[in-house]
Amino acid sequence: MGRIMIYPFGKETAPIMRNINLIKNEEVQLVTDTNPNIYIKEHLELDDNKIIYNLSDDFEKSLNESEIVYVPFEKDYFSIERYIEIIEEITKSEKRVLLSRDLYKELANIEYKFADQVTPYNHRNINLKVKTREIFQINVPVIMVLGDGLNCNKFDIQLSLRSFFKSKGYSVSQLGTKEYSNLFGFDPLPSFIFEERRIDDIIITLNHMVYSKIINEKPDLMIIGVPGGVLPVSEEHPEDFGKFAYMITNAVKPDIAIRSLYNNNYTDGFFENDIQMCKYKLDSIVEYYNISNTRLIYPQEKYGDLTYLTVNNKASENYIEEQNQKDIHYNLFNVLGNHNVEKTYEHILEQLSQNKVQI
Amino acid sequence: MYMYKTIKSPYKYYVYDGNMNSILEIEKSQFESLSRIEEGKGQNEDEIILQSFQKSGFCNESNIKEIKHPDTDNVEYYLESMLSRIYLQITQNCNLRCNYCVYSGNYQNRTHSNKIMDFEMAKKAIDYLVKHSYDSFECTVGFYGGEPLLEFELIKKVISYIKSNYPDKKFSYTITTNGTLLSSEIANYLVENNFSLVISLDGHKECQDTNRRFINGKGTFDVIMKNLENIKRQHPDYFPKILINSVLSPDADIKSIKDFFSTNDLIRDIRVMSTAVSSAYSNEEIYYPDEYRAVERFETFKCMLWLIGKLNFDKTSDLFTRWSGPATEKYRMMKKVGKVSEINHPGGPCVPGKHRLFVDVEGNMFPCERISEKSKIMNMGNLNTGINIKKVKEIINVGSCTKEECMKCWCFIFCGQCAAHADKLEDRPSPEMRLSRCDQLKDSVIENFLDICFLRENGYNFEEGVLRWEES
Repeated sequence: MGRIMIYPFGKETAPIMRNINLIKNEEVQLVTDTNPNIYIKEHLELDDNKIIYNLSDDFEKSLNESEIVYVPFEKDYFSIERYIEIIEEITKSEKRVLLSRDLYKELANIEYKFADQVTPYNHRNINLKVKTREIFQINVPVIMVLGDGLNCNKFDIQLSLRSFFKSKGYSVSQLGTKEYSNLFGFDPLPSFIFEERRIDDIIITLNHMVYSKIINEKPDLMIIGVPGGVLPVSEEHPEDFGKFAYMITNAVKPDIAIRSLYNNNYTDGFFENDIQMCKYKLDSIVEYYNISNTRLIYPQEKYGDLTYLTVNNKASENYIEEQNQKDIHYNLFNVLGNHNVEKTYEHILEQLSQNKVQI
Repeated sequence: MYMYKTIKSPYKYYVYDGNMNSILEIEKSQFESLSRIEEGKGQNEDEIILQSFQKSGFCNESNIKEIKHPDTDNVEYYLESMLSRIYLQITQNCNLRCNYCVYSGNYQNRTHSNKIMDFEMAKKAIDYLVKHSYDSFECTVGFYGGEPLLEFELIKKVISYIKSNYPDKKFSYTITTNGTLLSSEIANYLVENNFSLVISLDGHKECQDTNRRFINGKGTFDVIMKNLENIKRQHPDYFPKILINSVLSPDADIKSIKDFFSTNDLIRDIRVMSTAVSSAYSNEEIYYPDEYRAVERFETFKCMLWLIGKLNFDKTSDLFTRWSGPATEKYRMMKKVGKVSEINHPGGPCVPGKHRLFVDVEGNMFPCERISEKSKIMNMGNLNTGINIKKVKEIINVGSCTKEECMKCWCFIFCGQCAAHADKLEDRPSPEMRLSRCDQLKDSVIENFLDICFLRENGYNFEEGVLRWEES
């Protein structure tokens, strides 16, 4: 793949901005709208990630210098009409355009006529023939990243885990929660898990797919991100009821489970209850919690929407330090502020090192 | 002091529990016992009844231990990254001189002047909004005055600036106008840019021309109606999206206004909302006579009959339909809030600036356009210096000034007083001013509770009703 331009972006693509140093810099060009895009820069400062690589506000120049344009879907930020304008502007250049699958679907639904060079962002087609309904044991350590729901920095954790273990010399197989995981050198979760199929078929197929992946790639460990949350947020906002967590933990039992939480005030009993819930509901032992930079705001009105408020690293750090004063037996960290991250991952490494090899 | 209030409908007896935030249906004898205790006249047998409620967790003393607004710790983040709506006072000038205008000199507020916002200040305000809206998917810019259409050229420049500088950010526009300057050129522009257009029109000619007049004293009704006719002819698809705001003054003939809005051929197809004359910062007490209240209550009652399926929707007045809302809103709030937490704040104050940041011609920022621009406590900062977070936290925690009274009050959740209601334009909020509104406010909450009980007694399902309400 040649030089790739990414435009436009917002929250969904924020992990790319934050972790662009994990991609070979010269291959990716991020482009904002024609203004110096103060809101995104300011936001990065909010996260204390002040170094911005390859951020340009020169659309024309970036387009000329790129071979491919990836258009992610930020459905809340940009209207479909704006996406159509953007796509038509890019296609004039005859560059290849990769649309986020959801954006592609959305446009297909309104019978938008795609130019020849516009295709959905490609996923490897998994064509496993299920010969047995048996669940196979995965014989490498599996680290699973489970969250509270949208916008809780799960993908940032997946990237930083990858970076940590690779820096220690381990080979890592990975399935990521973002469709653009390939940019960082690993596969996204297979698209069949999002399809309307029987849950048991999805679980079995996923288990077999991961099993094959391990046989083919022979990694030292596997990292899997889990989309969505582990529970309904509330009666009014059940979201996905935690169905992905249910399916994925049934397909692959994690050795290490990391939970990423919203930056809300939790009562003292919360963590104990959460650990029990994950143990009995998902057969997963959680000992590690990321306190994210997103605060979930419940609507004041019964039928209002949930909102996701960005808070700075200081808020997470203060909370973690407060908790650490107590006698707790779980580890807290904040991935965006790089607070306690190294210590936590060293702890995970240490824990995994004590695993016994069963033959 | 127990945290409850007994309520009686014509047929049944109830108690509202301020800790549990719910209404219980009770027996007549229980009602009488709890009422006696409320009045401080409880006997031993009444205490036994009280204790039976307390065993189930009701009718206890207040749970509230501390006054602190639940959003206090979120304020800085809201204002840092969740702004979504800014109202620009682009001029302090107006071509009308309305009797009840908050800038008429009858209020503790600025008066009309020739000051206008310069383009540099407007750009600064737009940049400020965008910079602080990362968590908001859409930004709205409202143009406010005075009469904002006096500065139509500035409006065009601002929108052009937004389009060329922020093409990737979703923007929408709103304008509140007296409607007298809506020429074809202006209307075309507003339609092209899909403005949400709010026009102030109080009612029929007599009513409108009494209160809303040009500087020379001439009435405005004919001019506005002509402008509306032109818009309807030239933009028939856009016309129904216009919102009419009718300010109902205490001396208004409310029945004839209601008839005007429901029968006038031009107006009847567009939405009408009504507002009362602003009492905040008024030099004189605004008093609505009983005749006015009687019509208002009757129309509200008709709306409730519609809700329980006893009256057709078209028999209710658009002017009052929304007034059947408080009961359903209160019910939603009751269900949503649930049990009152120990650290809480009386209902009322919003997070200043989060929903509607008002910027005056000089770049001073206020929680909304209804705040007096002379206010010291409500001035949140300036576009040059930014928002003073400490001050904002004081504004949303205005209930601290009356904490002794509020912590014991059964009406804690439904209080509804914002910081403006304690603003005497001094350095600190006024506890006396805040407490002076309590009785009136509690009466209105009890009225809403009775509406809830009436609807319940008549088989109304609030959950279903909410959907029906939104559909209509």
